[in-house]
Amino acid sequence: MNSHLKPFIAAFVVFALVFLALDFTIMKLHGLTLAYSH
Amino acid sequence: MLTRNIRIICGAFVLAVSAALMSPMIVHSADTPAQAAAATAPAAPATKDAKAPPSDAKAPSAETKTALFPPAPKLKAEDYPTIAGVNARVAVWLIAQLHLWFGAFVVAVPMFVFMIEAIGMATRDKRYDNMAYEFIKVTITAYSLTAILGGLLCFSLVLFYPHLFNYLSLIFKESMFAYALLFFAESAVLYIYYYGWHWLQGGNKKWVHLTLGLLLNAVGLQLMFLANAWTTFMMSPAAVDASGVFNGDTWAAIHNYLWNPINIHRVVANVAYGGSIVGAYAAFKFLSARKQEERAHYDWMGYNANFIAIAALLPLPFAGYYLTAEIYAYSQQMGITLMGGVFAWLFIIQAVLIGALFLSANYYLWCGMGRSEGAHRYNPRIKYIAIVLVGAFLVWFTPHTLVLTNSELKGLGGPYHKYLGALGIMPAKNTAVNFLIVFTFLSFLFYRRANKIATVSWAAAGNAAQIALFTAGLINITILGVYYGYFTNTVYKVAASVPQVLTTLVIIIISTVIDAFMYRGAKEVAPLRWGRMPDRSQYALFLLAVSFTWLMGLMGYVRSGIRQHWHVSNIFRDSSPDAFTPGLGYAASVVSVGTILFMAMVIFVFWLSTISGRHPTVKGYWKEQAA
Repeated sequence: MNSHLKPFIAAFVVFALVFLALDFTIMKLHGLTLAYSH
Repeated sequence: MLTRNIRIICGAFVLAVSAALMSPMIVHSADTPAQAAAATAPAAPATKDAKAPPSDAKAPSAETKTALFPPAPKLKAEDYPTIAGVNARVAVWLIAQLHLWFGAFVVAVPMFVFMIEAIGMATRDKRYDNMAYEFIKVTITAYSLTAILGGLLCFSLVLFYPHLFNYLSLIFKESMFAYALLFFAESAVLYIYYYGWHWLQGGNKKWVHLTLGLLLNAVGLQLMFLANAWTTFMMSPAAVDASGVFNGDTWAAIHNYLWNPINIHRVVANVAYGGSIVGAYAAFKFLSARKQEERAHYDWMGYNANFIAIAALLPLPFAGYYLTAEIYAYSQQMGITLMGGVFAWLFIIQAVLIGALFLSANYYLWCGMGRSEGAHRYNPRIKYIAIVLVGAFLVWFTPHTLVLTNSELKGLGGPYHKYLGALGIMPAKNTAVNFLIVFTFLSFLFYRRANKIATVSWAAAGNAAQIALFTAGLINITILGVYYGYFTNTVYKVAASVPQVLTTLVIIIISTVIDAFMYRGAKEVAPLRWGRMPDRSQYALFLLAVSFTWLMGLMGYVRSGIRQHWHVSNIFRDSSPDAFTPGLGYAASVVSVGTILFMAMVIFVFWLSTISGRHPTVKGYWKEQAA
């Protein structure tokens, strides 16, 4: 189980950060913020 | 030798690209510099006869320059010629659609045949070369039908819409002439490419043959881009003033607002469509095969065709979304009519067909796993993919505004369903289609892995990383869809669709890379049993081809129909007796009739390829046999 769990958590954190960065960049290019603001 | 060959092919590529880039310059030099004249000269009075008077030998005056490019004529119903018993609108509609179906096929096949031939050259596996040759053989007959239908389309436009054709041909005369001449190049290259296939074999000659394939693609694409310009000019006219007087800038007229969006959409869609049609060909040959080797060969061909169709299908929703976004950006009225107005329900039908495409393509892959002895390891997970695909499909085609009678409207309390109405708007659709794409890719991943056993030491960690990638990506897609779709405003909602697409792309690319490394030096479970496929899997390939055809016909109607009562949007009004938006049922019926006609022609093309391979020995017929 450990042989799957640790790599899963590590990879999940890395990919979550990658996708967060992607979202932030694209929204910024549209002149918008990540969190909705009027 | 290799360097020399690479130089030849690069040179041909540069030549093709230069020709494509130079065409606007040539077109530019043919322009009449009439901008000042067009701006200052008054618009000529509207006449029935819109034909421009010929210019004399002296330097043209401002008035003559204006006369060369008259304003769009203001027509009445009686100006349109009629032929007894022929509905002009339906005739032109069907002929244009049939021409487009065959044209799409003929443009698409050389694209993937080029890649298949290159793969064959790289791997020295003759199966690829044989398959590429067989695809081109089918294209030859289809090419004749494309030309016949193109000629028929030209005739029918001249016969039924002479003023429109005259107006457009005045603006596009250079590109139309170039288009006609380019067919010499297309035919020459195609026939040398096909008839010289077995002659240009081995070493240097094979490179020459491949280069011919590249040139065929260049010419085919050029032809399509020119014709696309005339179509999109009718939707988003450029280089004309409000009364339709052309300012002489042909390149501006070609390079109108919707030209490149439709170019991108049609290139990707044509590849997917071409893949589905050759898949239907492979399915037809598989089902009629008598020998096991034949079954194996056509099973392999069907797999490759399905792969091509899916590979191009994955980015296609976004090419279509981009086209729609550009239509909206050009004209909000056209955009609203397209997806928020009278044509909105046709997009529900489109959603059903696309769902059918995804389900069918996945079903074929799942059946294909049966070719491998190792597939049993992944079979239990298929049902979960099926559940997600069906769920996404249901969301994908849930409508927003319902078609209701007054009493139903009262009973429901509005035009939207209380709970499901929320699934009818684009954020839900975008989320659903990204799920469809990701899980279709997952089916393909399982298919690839079915016959392999990873031998790398980090296989468990690699699998965990893949699962994390998919999990994180799907959560991101969902959050983007739900949060920005329902808790923010329109600007955020529309913008969020871009990171959704990119998330899907990131999942596909990174997963492919991890998998490639993970299965390096992998053990094969057993040789794949090509031919071990149930007959119903071939019907999945037929479903792909028919759905694609019907879908193209429907969307072609929609694209044309949003012009409503305009031949050229806001410039040249359509005053023909048939200038009305028909009922959705009627439009769907016309598309169905077209699809049936097209399928009949395609079956004819497939049948021709079958009979051409038959060489029965007839005894006692020829005099040499009697002697």
